[in-house]
Amino acid sequence: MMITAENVHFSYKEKVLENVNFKIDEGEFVAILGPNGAGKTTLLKLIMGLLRPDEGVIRVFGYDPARNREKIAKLVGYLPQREVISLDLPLTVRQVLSIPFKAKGIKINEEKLIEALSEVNLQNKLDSLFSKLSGGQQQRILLARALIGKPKLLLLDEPFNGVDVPSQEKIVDLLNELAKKGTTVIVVVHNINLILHHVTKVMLLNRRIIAFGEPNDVFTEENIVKAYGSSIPLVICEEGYTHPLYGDHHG
Amino acid sequence: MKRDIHTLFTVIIMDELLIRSLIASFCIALNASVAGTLTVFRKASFLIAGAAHSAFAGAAVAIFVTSFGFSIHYFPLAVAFAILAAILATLSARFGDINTGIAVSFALSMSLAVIVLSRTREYAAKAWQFMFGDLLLLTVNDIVIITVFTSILLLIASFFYYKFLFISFDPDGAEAMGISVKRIDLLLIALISSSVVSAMKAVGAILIFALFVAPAASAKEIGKKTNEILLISFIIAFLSLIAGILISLTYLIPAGAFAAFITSLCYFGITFLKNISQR
Repeated sequence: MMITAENVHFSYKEKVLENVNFKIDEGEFVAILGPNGAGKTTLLKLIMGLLRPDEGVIRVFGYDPARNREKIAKLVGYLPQREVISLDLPLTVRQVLSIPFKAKGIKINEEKLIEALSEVNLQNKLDSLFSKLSGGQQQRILLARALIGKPKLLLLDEPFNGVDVPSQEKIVDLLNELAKKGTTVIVVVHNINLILHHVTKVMLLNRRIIAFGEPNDVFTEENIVKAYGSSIPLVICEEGYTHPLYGDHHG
Repeated sequence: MKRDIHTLFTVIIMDELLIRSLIASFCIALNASVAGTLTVFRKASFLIAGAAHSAFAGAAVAIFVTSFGFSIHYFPLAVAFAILAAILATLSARFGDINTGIAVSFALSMSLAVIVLSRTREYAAKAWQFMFGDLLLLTVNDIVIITVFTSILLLIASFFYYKFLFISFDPDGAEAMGISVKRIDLLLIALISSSVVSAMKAVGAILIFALFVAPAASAKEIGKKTNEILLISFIIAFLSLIAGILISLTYLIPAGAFAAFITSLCYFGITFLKNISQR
C-alpha cells in the first residue's frame, strides 16, 4: 500500500480535514476534487509531511511523512499551485530545473535536465527565460522539474490552471503514461473531465471524504450535492463514464 | 583641462578621506547589489526601509546610553534592532499583511528613537550622521566595519544563494524538497537587515532604501538573468556613489543624498523608457 490515512484530522485555526480515511495503491491514478477550502492542498501537504495531523495516522511508503521528510522528499515529485510561484523571477529554464538540486547540494548534469524536458517536449527551451514562456509551457517545465528525480509518487496541485488546451492534453498524456509505468499519480483538479477517462479512482473531498472510488461510483447526484452544496448535471459519455457537465472554477 | 584632471586624480590618490569613501562606496555597492537584489526577488523591498529606521533606533539607544558615560558601539545595537524589526514584520506577515507589519515596526522604532534622543540633547547632533549619513567623513573604524561586514554578507549569500533563490521562486516546492523555508527566510531577512546597517553611517537611514532597492529594481527591468541583475545593480550603485563623491567635492552637496537621487532617477528613467519601447 503506497499511502494510508486513518482517522486523520487537521486544523489551522478552524477544522480543515475531519476523519479522513483512505488507501491508495502503488500505480494508481487518483484525482481529488472539491470546492475551494475543501482541504485538497492541505491533504497533499499532509502526504508530503509538510504538515502534521492533529489526530490520526498517515503513512507514505510505510513511513510517517512528517518524521521522515527527507526520505519522502526523495520519493515524491511535487507540482505546486501556480499562484504560489513567483513566475516573474528572471530565471532560465535551466535554473528552474536545477536550483532545487543545487539548493540541496546535489550535483545535476545537463543530460538529466534535457531528459526531463524531453518528457514534456520542451527540450529546446533549456536556455529560455522561464518568465517569457506561455502558461502551458511553464507548467510543463515545472512538471519536468517534478520528474527529474524519477519519483515513485507524483503529487500535482491544480496542474491545469492557466494552461492552454494543447498543453493540457500533453500533460494528461504524460500523466497517463507515467501511471501505466507504475508511478502513483495524485492530482488535485477542478475540472475532472480532462482526466476522467484515465484515472483509476476519484476522491470527492469537502473537509471530509464524501466519496472515494471509481469515477462512476463517486459521481452521483447525492455525492455532488454533499460536496458542492448544489447539484451539477451529470452526463454519461459513449465510453460509459459519468461526467459532471461543468468543472467548478478556482477562486 | 589635463592639469585639472591630473590634480583631481592626485587629490583622490593622496587624500585618505577620499580613499576611505571609495572603499566604502565599493563595499556598499556590493551590499546593495546582493542584498537589494535578494530583497527585490523576495518581494520585500519595504523591509529595507523598515530595517534602516529600526537600525537608526538602535543607534539612538547607543547614543542615549553613551550620554550616561557608558561606552557602547552603535553597530551591535543597530544590527539587533534591524533584525528584530525585520523578524517581527515577517512573523506578522504570516498572520496578516507584511506591509502593515513593516510600517508598524517602522513607526515603533522611529518613535523610540525620538524618545531617547529627546533625553540626550547634547548628543543629539551625533544622530545626524546616522539619519543622513556622510560618505566623506567615515573613520577607519567605519571602513573596517563596512569591509568586514560586506565580506561576511558575500560569504553567507554565496553559501545560501540557491536556497534563497529557491524559496523566493517557489516556497512550497522548496518545502517539499526538504528545505526549511521558515528558517532560510529568517536568515535571508536577517542578512538583508544587517547589510543595511553597514551602510547607515555612509548613506543615512533615510536614504538607504533608495541606494539598496532602486539599483536592483532598475537592474530587474533591464537584466534578463540573475547574474546580469547582480552586475547591473552593482554598477548603478557604485557609479551613483562615485558621482555623489565627485559632486560633493565640487559643490558641497551631501554625497549619499546625491547618489540616492541618481539611483532613484535611474529607476524611473529605465521603467519609463522600457514602457515606451514596449508600446
